Amino acid sequence: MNVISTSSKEGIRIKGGVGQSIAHESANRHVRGSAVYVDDMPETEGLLHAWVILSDRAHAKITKLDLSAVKAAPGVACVCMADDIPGANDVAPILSNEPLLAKDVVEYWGQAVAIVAAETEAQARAAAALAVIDYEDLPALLTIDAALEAKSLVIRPMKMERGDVDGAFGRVTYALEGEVRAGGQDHFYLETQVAQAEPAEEDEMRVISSTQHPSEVQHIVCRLLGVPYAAITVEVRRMGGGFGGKESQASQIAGMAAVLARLSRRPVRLRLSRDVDMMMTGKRHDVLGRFKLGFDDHGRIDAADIVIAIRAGNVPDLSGPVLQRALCHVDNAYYLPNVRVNGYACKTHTVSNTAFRGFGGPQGMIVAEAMIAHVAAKLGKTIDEVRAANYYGDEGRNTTPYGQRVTANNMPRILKEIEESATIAARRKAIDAFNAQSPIVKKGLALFPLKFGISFNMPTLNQAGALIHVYTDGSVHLNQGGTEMGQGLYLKVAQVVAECFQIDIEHVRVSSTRTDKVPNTSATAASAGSDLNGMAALAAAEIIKGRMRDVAAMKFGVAVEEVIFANGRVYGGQESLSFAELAKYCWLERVSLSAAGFYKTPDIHFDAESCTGEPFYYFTYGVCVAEAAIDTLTGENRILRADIIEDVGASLNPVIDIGQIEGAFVQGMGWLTMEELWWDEEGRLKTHAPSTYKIPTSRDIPADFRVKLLGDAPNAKPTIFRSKAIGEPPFMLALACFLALQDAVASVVGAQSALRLEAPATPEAILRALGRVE
Amino acid sequence: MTVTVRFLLNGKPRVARGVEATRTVLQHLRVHERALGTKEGCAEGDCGACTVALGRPDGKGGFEFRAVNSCILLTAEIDGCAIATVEGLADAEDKPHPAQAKLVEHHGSQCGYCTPGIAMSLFAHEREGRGAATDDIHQTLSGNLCRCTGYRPIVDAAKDMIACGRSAEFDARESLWRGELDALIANEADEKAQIDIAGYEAPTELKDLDRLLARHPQARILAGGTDLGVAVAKRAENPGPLISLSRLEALKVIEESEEGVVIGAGVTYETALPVLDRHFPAFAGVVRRIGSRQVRNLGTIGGNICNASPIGDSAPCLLALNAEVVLRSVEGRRKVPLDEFFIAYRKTALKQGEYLEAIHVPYLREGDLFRAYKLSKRYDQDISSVSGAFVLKMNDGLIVAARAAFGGMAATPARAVALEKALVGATRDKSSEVAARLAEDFKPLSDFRGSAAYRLAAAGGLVERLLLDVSGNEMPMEVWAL
Repeated sequence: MNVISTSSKEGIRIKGGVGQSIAHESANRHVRGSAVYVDDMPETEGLLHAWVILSDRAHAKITKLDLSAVKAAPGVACVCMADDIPGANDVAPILSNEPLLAKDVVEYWGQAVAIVAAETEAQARAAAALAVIDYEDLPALLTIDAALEAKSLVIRPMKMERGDVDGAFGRVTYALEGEVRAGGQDHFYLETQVAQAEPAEEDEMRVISSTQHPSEVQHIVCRLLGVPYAAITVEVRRMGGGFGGKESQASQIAGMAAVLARLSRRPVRLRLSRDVDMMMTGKRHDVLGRFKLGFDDHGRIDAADIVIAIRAGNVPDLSGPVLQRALCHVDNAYYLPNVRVNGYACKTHTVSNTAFRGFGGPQGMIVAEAMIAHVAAKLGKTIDEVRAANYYGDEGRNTTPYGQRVTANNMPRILKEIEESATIAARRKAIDAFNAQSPIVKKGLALFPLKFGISFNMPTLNQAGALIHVYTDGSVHLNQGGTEMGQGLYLKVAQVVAECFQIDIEHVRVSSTRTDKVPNTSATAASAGSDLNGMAALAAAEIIKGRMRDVAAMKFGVAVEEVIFANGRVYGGQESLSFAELAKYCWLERVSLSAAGFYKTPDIHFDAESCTGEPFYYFTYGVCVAEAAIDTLTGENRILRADIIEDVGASLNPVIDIGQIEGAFVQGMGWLTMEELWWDEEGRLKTHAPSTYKIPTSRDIPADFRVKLLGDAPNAKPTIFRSKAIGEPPFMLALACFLALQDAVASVVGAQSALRLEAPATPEAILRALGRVE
Repeated sequence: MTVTVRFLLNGKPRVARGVEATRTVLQHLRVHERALGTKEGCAEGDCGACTVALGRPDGKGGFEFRAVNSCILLTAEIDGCAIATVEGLADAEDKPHPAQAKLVEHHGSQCGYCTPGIAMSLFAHEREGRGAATDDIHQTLSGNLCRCTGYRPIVDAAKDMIACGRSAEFDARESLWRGELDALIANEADEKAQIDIAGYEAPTELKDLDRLLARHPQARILAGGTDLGVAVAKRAENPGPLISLSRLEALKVIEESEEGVVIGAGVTYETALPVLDRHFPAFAGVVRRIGSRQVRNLGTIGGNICNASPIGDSAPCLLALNAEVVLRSVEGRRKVPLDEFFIAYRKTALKQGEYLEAIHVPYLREGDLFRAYKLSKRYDQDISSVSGAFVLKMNDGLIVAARAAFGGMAATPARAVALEKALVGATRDKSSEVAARLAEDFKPLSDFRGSAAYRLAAAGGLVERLLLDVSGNEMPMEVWAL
């Protein structure tokens, strides 16, 4: 199905080519503890360790900032507050005026006020505790509701509109209003944010950062230091998890290390403690959705007037794009003929929220599903009956609110397959029978259909580069702009290169991502890592392969088209050379074996002002059916079974994709069931460590967990070997768990009252929805 | 004030001199040994990225290896022990231990940051000779957070590792290691911890402990250290002089006496479990949800009681069971009923110079019913929002007397006296009225673990569950029973 030419000789397969299930490139290093993370790097001569001094007010004027005791503390080499920053005190990824260090005013509890570097981490920490900061409290807005009431927003409101919403409301049979809320989520990457800055000659510096976005770290470090981009090189080999949390946020940590390194002229490492990380850095936006719907007897929605409000925190950061993606996913898999969505990114005096797997998609979709559930409850229909009336369909019912046509829609096929494989009808019966018998424990069952748009909403970001060198022994050095955070991107791209050159993957060496090798990159985000970087690497490999083919044709005395790369060898006529021999021969013939590749996603456009266009190269689909149980006396709950079918196109590596599905799904379960960010009345986050913030453990996963890739479903678009993106979509499949819990609640209090359930569905939230807690 | 610590690191003898009393094993490994495979993820013993196997010499020429959180374990406490880290699992030919091989085979790592800790938990599971029961595997993994994989491949790796049986290769290495450690201790006999109460002392006799504490009543007693280690590692607190119970074998004994079970103050949760299973299975059930296996391998029931947390999970069970504590000092011993031990928020009846020696838990009488329930946001390794324990004296299917105690409902774990009265003669159909009596016993607080309203409602829910339970209900009463 592959449109890009790679040649192969019949019946012979290289090891580790595209589509093969092979282990993560670092798996053997992971289990031996020899995979090096930033904090494991050698402690270079004179290395200082840093600590951050945080505000302990949500909103206050700084009336005094006395760091004299910090400076005088043992081991301290350098202390820095806002005015000491050499360049601009601004780490905004998109806009401006987002301070690295608070000056004059603090806008959230946990905001960085000053930084200190000392000979040891313990000394830096002890010194930081000696800071004297006096405040004059200012009124603080802590919640979405408070911010909406005060019309406090970080960016202008966003609006997406299609059709005649008000007119449609005039003719509908039924109308209702509803609301849904979901909490935020901490990324809880196991490796906290960390960076090391090493000053070099003059204004040059090398920054090793645990980041998903080396180019942005480079740009922001340069802004903080007031130096040109070419002076700074940012490098990352691997992260101990990212999930979006190291997209824009990593710049702060790298920026602090860089500023301290510049001021002290010594290398500086800053590794946030878990508590500081969770207090200081952004999280998933919590969301409030409000909607007015007009629909007919079948529950088919004709008019929808929707408000999506997300809690942005103190500064915009990435809240604009997050909100945009929420707006672009409030339809989920449903056709909304007349629809208006007003989006608000609320300014609050809490930490600035940021990218997190799904990036607004989950927030949009939980509103979509609440709309369907409200219609179903109102009409006394099942949710799936109402869905059936609203799914995207054929011409006339296949355009999204932002004007993109939904084509190559795999949803009907997946729904049909899962109906059978998950035996939905039979289990529904069994659950009803169980609930009739069981006085305390009640079960619920729910399906969730997912449609997710792939590409960065902003077309510009959909570009990537790669750099490949083939050495004269036939080994290949692969460098590309994407970063490795555990998702297996390095491996997938290496598989692409191995496939192209037709060599075993052991000959392809992936190297750390560096801004001096591949410049001007986009974040590894939006699930687009392998789509973009795989294509860029393939482009680079094809360039070199073309040159090698020419050389081979000459040597073999055959036409270029007759040269075949297969199974580690290159054939032409009756002759052949090993790949390594040909590489050596190219060198002898003075032919370059190095190339940069580039890719940009074709055919996409989007106008952010009007929220219209075709921002997504394609859609990906998935369905989850989840079965849950609740304890009606205590609210305890559990996911008993989950069946998933996910559309990954023609998978580049099935085991890696299954790992992404399972991991994302369990992370989504955590968001929707147990992970609770809890602020007190003063705006202090009280759940800022794993002792208080609970992510799923092994026991929490579905006892019966069945994950399948949709078979024989190559991407209709010519993506990298017809694969589809996988990083984010399965996160949202966990909405099935939330809906199954709601279904269990409905078995006790009815469908209408069950709509009260809020996410996360903690035991307390369940008891509230059951009406047992006021 | 520093100590000298003799231990074995992955089979290599180590004599660490000048170790500060507050230096954690993780700090020692990463900073002083530059053994970087072991990671810090939280510095409070909750994520497991720092898991190592602590081997105490056994009587069979090897070690009892247990998974522990190196981030909250003080280095001084490992004197005379072996530490195995992820770097020490593969053999000389670099052949991985089955824990490692199976994690690779089943794709159990993604970002890899939690992986060393997970490998060590699986290694300890294998060394302990534990089986393939799913519940036991979840207990083994309960202290290891992974944010990438969704755990399924890790559980599969664990099952596959167990199916491979005990590693004979590692058995052989274990006896070599034991030889190394014995030689080290023999050679460095003079290097054992110095006697200096200014920092850290580990007496070996109770009478020495009596005297030390009489002379230095301000010293903190270090039992499992799973709370104190958090204060040191996470909050950078200096706890002042420490007296460790680690060498007091007399306190590590759990006895089944004529009248009841006597739990020495130094008995860890995991050590207590087999005995608790025999006599108080509901208590054992709650203990299996305290912390993680790493925490239970170090933490002690005595420490849990002396901490006097409002939510210490042992306390409600022991209160309901009418336990007594034996308090000891140079002046002798006294026995105090547990419900007189907790005085106020984190305040106990311990006087200056006095320490907890043991907990006496009387056996249940014929016909008594004992139930204990724990509620938390997450099943494993979470602090209770509410926990309740009940001992019911039954006669002819009716409750004739009751002891009920709760955690998370007041400033201390406490009996629910009004509820106890209402339980007498109570039946299932009156359960919500009986549960409502809790409002007379408790005015709980609101916090991130639960609002006051939830705590009262959920505690009432536990009372309803109890009455349904004793009435012989056939259907599952908890989601985890499904």
